[in-house]
Amino acid sequence: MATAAASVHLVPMNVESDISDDSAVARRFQAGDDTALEAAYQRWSALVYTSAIRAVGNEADAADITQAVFVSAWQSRSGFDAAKGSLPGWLMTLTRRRIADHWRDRARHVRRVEAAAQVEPDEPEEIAADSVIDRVVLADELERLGDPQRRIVELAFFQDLTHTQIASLLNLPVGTVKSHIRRSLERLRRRLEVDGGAL
Amino acid sequence: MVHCDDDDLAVIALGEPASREIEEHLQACALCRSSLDQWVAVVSSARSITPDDHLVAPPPSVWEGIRDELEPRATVTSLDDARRSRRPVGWLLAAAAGVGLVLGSVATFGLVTSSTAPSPSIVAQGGLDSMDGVAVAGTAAVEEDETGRHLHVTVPDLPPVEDGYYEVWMATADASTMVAVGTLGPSGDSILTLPAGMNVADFPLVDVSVEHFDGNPGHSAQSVVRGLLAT
Ligand SMILES: [Zn+2]
Repeated sequence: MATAAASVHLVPMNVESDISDDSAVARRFQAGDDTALEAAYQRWSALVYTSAIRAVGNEADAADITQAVFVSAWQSRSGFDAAKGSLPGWLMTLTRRRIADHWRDRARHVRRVEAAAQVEPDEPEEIAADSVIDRVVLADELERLGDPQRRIVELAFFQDLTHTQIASLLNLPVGTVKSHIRRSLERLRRRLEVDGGAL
Repeated sequence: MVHCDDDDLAVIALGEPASREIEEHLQACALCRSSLDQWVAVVSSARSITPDDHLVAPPPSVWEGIRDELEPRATVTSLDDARRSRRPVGWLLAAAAGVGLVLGSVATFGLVTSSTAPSPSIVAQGGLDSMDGVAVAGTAAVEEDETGRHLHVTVPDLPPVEDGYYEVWMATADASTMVAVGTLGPSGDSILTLPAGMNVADFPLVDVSVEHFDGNPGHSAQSVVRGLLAT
């Protein structure tokens, strides 16, 4: 199988992601539709790649991990059930596994090089990877927030304004600001539950 | 018991002070405490985001690497065998056999049977038109006999290819997915066996391209003729 050369380089970064669209991609992926692999890559490769960079510390290894994640996701797609979980959640599970493998290989390599050394890097590195992935996932979800939520969240999270200060700044009712904050928090929490490191 | 208002808990999670009643309720209610704790964890994780955590796209080589790994290796052997056919990889077969694409404009070839007809029977056919001003044209037909389905391609007067050969492809109507079905020899007439299980209705576009011995199994993007099959 091959693809016309014209479409081989077709990797635009989206990202106007909408949940129903995401699950349609997941269902097509599960059914073995190879256009869904490309769609999944367009949607979630940046998430996988950035998480990997942050977790392993360099772009070359992160590129290898990203490639391995999408190849193994496609080859083992029978193990994915769109009815039970989200496709990005599954991709992130594979990503965490690859990151863990990376550190395990690294530890083995170090042991081989320094025959006498007692190297136990697995535990601390993996814990660090989880919190790093959480931050990347949250950064992604924050970027997907539309206004006025996004503006409100910026002011509340990063400028430390109270909800009453935000309400007067944006000329919005206090109750509206509060419920926007609550909805955004809930959305971030759910996203973290699905894609985050703390599964 | 009346639980806390979620909107109140949300701003408390951000660090705003709780009222006396809410504080007392939280002391007593594990349910509300657990909602608050979850949001506090989200807030603290979000507040630790650094500019480095913002998403960056992988370089294009990553997608190319994925395609390379999932595509079949090119094995350039027995090139003079005009009936040679490259097998599509599993994912293509899965797409062709499964839900796949349903093209409204193309009839289902699969319904045509030939058990009593004299062989071979023609399942679909069409003309091939030249691209890029190369003065050639030809015909293509899907034929069926007791041994299976074949694509019979005839393109007379093709110029010889220097350091290369002509490859015959069947593609989706938009040419986004292509299957290599074999080579077209110097005679300009080849009968190529189609992979069993390939739903030819999904691949109504026939394309002949110039390929080089470069080990790259993908389409060179140098098509010489193209045409659509119809039943
Ligand atoms: Zn309560």
